[in-house]
Amino acid sequence: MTVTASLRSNRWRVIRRSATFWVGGFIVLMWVVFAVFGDFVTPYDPQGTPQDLLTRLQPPSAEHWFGTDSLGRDVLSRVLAGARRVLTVSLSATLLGTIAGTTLGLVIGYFGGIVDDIISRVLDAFLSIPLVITGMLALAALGANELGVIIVIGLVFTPIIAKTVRAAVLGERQLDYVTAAQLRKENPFYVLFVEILPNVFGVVIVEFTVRLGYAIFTVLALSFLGFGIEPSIPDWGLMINQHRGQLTGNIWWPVLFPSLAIASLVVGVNLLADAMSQAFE
Amino acid sequence: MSRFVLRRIGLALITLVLLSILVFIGTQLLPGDVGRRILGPFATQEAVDALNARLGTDRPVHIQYWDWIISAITGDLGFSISFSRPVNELLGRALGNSLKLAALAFVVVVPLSLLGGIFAALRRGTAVDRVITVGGLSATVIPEFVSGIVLIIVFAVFLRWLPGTAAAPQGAGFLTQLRHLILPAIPLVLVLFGYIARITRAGVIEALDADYTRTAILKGLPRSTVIRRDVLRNALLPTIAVVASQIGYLIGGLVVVEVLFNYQGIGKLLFDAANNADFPLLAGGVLVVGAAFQVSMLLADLAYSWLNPRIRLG
Repeated sequence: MTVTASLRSNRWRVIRRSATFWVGGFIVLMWVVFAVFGDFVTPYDPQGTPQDLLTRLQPPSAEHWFGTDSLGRDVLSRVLAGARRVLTVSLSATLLGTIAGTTLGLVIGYFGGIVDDIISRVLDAFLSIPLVITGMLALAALGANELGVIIVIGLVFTPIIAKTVRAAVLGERQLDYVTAAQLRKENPFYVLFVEILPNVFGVVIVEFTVRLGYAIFTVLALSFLGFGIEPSIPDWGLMINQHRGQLTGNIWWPVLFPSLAIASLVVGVNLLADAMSQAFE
Repeated sequence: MSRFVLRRIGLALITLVLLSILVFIGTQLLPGDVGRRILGPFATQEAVDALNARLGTDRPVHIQYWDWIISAITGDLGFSISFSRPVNELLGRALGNSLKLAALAFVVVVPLSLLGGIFAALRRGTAVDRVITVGGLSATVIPEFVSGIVLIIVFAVFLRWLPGTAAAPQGAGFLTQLRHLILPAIPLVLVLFGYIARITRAGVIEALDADYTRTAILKGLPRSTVIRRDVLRNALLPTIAVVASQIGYLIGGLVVVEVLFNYQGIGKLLFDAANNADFPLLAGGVLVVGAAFQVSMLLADLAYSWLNPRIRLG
């Protein structure tokens, strides 16, 4: 117990000292705050009002720092409000994949055998199609909506996360505490979830943060392509998609600012993931 | 060696079969009533039935799969619904275009990222190393359409140095085509750079710390000789596999880049197919993309084993 405890506090020390963790954490926290409290901080109504149509496509100014879009809506307000959709969809998809993948990984790692081989092959087949294409295909087949995006990304993540967790479980299975639990004739699921899971939790956390980065990437790529979106909800990918045609007319602000928002969020999440994997591996 | 090769080819074949089943499920089973998906909710039932009969989607599932996969193996991927053209013809032209773009990106990124990774490893812990590592990581994670948009704004809208679309005018010469492909290639280069440089750096650092390197240095060999003969030769081996595995990500990136720059490649074709619920085209395209990925992974593994004496002789 003391060994584990000191290992844990050691990890915390590594994380606390890492500049990557603080920078990444700050950026992500900022966007989470906007996602949660967006309605209170946006200077204008992100959904727009009929009066907005009088101020269409205004360049950045003192009243509209990021300018206005083709319907006269304030771009800054839409960028801030857009954090909510990408974060909820990506987080839900990643959580789904992590829970399903961890469960699957624990089971196949512990029981092994033929299931293990089958999962590895199916995973290989899955991974030979890029995630964006899998997403497009599934959304074209099922009809596109937000829930579809969450399920598709979660399902693709499941075997990937399962593979990593499985490898960690294989390492734990040999250890004395597992043998002890087995000799006590504990229920296998008790051994898996109460004994082994806490010890592979670091792996799960790292995998979660890394996958979250990929999920954000994919959610935004799909909404940029026009898949799985509700047009009324502010979304960064959709904003870019709707206004990129106007770039030729020198109207860059409705496209540039959501792009910078995406860049900052993905870099932030990946800095966090980097710090996590350095601390846990 | 031959046992390893046979085993590896066997695994690739199994994966390909599974892939074809997944693609079949995604394009023929998930849509449910294919005719209804294509014609929409307002079409009459007779029209839907007629279309299903014409497409063969009214037959039992296993027969449909068998027919589809046998034709695919013999090189016939069916007929595109939205383009009214054979899928083969459409895919062939699109793949040719994508290959040009991908080749340009690869020619630039492979030497650049290898040098970057080696440079960072040899100066491990310095500011240069941090810049390459963090810069590379950031470049890798920023989606291609984001870097693409910024490039278009800076180089096509503000500076007007380069065209903002990838499509060159009909019958344009090589240099004009190249000029149109520069901006679309850069987002692909950025995404691949960080990844390949990172793996190269890790490989070089591992080799630098290895005992054989210590021995070579203690033997009194000059540093440049040790790096060339011992470090790089050992470090670059794993990188080959990584470069090949990136082909999958490259194709994923092609979708958004080709849509953004309006380029008629495989990514744009799959995008159009998905938008038009053109399932035969989608099935053929995804199958070809997946197979291309599997073949490149296979070739990478074979090259790796051929270059690695422990596998070649073992």
